[in-house]
Amino acid sequence: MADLILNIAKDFSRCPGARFRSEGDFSGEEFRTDYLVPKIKLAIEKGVNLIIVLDGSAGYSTAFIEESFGGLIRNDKFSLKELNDVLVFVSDEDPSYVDDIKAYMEHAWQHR
Amino acid sequence: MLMILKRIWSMLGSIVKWSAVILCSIIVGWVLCLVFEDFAPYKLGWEIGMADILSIIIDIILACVIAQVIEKSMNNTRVEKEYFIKELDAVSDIYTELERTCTKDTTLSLINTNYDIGRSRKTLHRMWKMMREVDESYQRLFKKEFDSLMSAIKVLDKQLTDTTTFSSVDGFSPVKIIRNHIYLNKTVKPSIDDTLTEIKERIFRLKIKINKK
Repeated sequence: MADLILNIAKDFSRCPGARFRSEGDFSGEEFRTDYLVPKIKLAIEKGVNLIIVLDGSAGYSTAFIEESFGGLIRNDKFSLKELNDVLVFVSDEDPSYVDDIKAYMEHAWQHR
Repeated sequence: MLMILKRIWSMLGSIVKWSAVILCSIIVGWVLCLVFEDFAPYKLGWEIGMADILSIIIDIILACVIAQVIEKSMNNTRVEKEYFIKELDAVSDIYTELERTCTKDTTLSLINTNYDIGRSRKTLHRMWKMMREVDESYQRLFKKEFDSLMSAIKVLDKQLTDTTTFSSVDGFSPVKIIRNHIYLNKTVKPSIDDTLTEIKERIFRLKIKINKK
């Protein structure tokens, strides 16, 4: 079974916005609830990886990244292990986004 | 006029350099061929054989090749340094512009801010990758400065785009975001200014260190 791919720039927006829906379009909250969570659930169900492509966007705010991925643990009650097992990140343009995401997930897991 | 003087100066420098290379190679070659071919340096005198002349000619050619290689590598280092400094200047320009906007206005576009910060991060990572490709010692030498610059950029990113307590400064939320517009809070504007100054200072420090290499 082929892995699932979620390309943020192509499938969501080239210009991701802020943290919450109330702050404007293309927020981290919107991305997480409408795009990320359904794909993660599908990937877990099928037993494949979900490849998240971060390249191609205009840039991500730390708030967007934290809400999208830290929120998976805080709000959607995924475990850190589940996420580490299923998510694969691709970020050639700025590899430090991957470190940031992992740090936010770790932080959310410790403060859950 | 200045261009002509520069060209003459560069030509003179070139002549002096090549003369020094040829002179040194003649002396070294002369001594070496006496030592290794005759194995009798005490014979140093005016009797020159065909082998000695050939050795000197080969020696001059070798010296020229070596000088060319050294000059090329020095030129490459200069070009590399110029490239890195140019990239850092481009990043510095982004923050100078952002600083100007923050001083002038109380509202910023979130998308533009994301784009500016994202662009600077991508530029720095491209430069960092390039450093590893051209010479791994660059990364070892500049790691501390690079990491501190990246962390200052992340601090600014949080201050400008995060409305939660995650980025609160002295208990105040730094900014309000409505319809993807950032509204700067006057009480925390100074701390945003401080971070912007810090970023520019760290860029400057990195530039100095690259220039010193």
